[in-house]
Amino acid sequence: MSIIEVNGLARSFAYHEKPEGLNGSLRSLVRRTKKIREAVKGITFSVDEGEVVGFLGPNGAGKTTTLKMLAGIMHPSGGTARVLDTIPWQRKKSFRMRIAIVLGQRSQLWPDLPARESFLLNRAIYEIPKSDYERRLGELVERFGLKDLMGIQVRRLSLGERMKMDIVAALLHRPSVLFLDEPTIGLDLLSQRAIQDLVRTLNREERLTVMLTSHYLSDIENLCERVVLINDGSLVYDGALAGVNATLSERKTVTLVLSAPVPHAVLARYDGFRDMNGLTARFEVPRAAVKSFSRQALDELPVVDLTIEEIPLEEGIAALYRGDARGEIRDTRREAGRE
Amino acid sequence: MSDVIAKYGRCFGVGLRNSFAYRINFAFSFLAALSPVVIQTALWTNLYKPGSADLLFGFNYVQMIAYTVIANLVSRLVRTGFEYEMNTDIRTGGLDRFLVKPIGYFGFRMSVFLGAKAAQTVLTGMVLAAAVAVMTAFLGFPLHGAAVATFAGSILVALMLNFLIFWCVGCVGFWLTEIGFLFEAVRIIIITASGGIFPLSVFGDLGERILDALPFRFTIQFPTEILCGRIPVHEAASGFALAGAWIAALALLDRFLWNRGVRRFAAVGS
Repeated sequence: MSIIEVNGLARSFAYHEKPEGLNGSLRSLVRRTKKIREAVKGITFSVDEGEVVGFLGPNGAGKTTTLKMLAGIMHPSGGTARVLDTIPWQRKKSFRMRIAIVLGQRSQLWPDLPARESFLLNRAIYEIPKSDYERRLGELVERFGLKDLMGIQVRRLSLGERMKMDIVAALLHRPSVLFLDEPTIGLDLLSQRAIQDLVRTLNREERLTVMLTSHYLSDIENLCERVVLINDGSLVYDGALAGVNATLSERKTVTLVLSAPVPHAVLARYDGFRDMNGLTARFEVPRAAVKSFSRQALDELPVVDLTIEEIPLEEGIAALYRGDARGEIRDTRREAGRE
Repeated sequence: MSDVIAKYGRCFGVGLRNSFAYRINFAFSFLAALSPVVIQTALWTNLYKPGSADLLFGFNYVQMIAYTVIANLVSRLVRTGFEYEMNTDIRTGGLDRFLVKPIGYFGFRMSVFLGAKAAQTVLTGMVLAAAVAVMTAFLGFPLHGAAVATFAGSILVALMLNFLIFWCVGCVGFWLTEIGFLFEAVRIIIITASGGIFPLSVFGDLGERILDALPFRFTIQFPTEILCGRIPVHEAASGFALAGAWIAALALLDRFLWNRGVRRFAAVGS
């Protein structure tokens, strides 16, 4: 059952173009040129209850704008969306009681107060019974190891501690849908893993539906079976994470470690040459040609080591971001739905 | 209903605790307040002939000094500050956290404001009591119990009114960014129009009539004149009624501006 339904959702922003220099500044005082930027261009997708969906895209692709519309913070300029069977931007109380959004770069806690105070405020705001609150808070604080930090002013906490506190605050009322916008940005590996573990556990145990944006692939690989990719406001992929590299799976990465430097021009003569770093050269070779390529390289170059690997996920996503793979990747999710 | 009380009661507590976090700042604001009081007292002392019973702008010397001291303390007491936080929330997108939560921003800010004022009122009340005691002992300032009780009621009205006035000012942030200077300019004008610097009679008959027709005087001059005994307790009722009408009108205006502003915020984003 779809818990999030997005249909042709669009959002454009008006802005004034400011010409360069003092003359431009003076001119803009009198006459300004109004322009429209389309941040989200009519995207359509749906998310089922209990899914964890990675919402990916390069900077400025429209991810945060989309999440803000789905959380009810922003009105769209076109299209429709329903979250928990409600139009989000109507901001009904019943809707707000069942969702949460964590914006990695913007804390929801009160910086001058200890996190405990913010949690108590959230308890009152979400009308959480005392026993439920204490049990839930105890579980979350225990899981993140935050017990000794509860009385410290939030602005004195480290970035990782603050982010964990933010996530605790967002989960106290047991939301059905959680929007996470860059929740691990700037965090160390241990903190990233702790957040990933918590999201995975809540998804499994409480069927929490999660939409997650992150530039860290480890977040996506560890949490999401499905990804929705947007670029320049448009949907470029909606399907299984495993399918992202579908177009690239016909190729492999061959890495050569050489015993002596080889001129760049010589390496560039080989098809699929990617880059050279010290004595290590990287090639992207069609799967069928790997054998012949390897034989030729071993014969002609001073090779001391040769590695053949699948093309990393980053490359597949980057290809989608660049538009190289647009239209080539099948929408595996929709196809699965039709089967 | 009990959930709503618990919700906004907790917000009140946040304001209260925040004011403790900044208690030194608050204490210093009293020291800063001393200099205008000293300057104005010196000014009036020079303007009144020594020992004369002359009236200036309808005030004798003792009344004018009492007015200066009490008006200054009242203006401290009813002073807001949430409009800066409101502006920051709008400008930086901090308003997002309120829009996604089942709580009203107006109720939140009002509760936090009153919570912060609760602690400050105790301290200001002590300073005011000391000032009144000194003026009673050395200047013969007349003090009546009924006036003190009516004054307390007028302070509640003044707090409410000033909150609503500065809520309107804060809503400007939806349309203009970087308006810190505007806030300061508006604050000085409003304090002046409230009688926080001089009694409104200083502005002449016409000026006073115009300012009487505005809500600002109920935030400083009205409570000050009640405590000074210039507005007899039995005559204060009409003032309370008029202030109540202003509260109702401003509440409607606030609601209108907020709804328009949030619609714009949701359309434009942060």
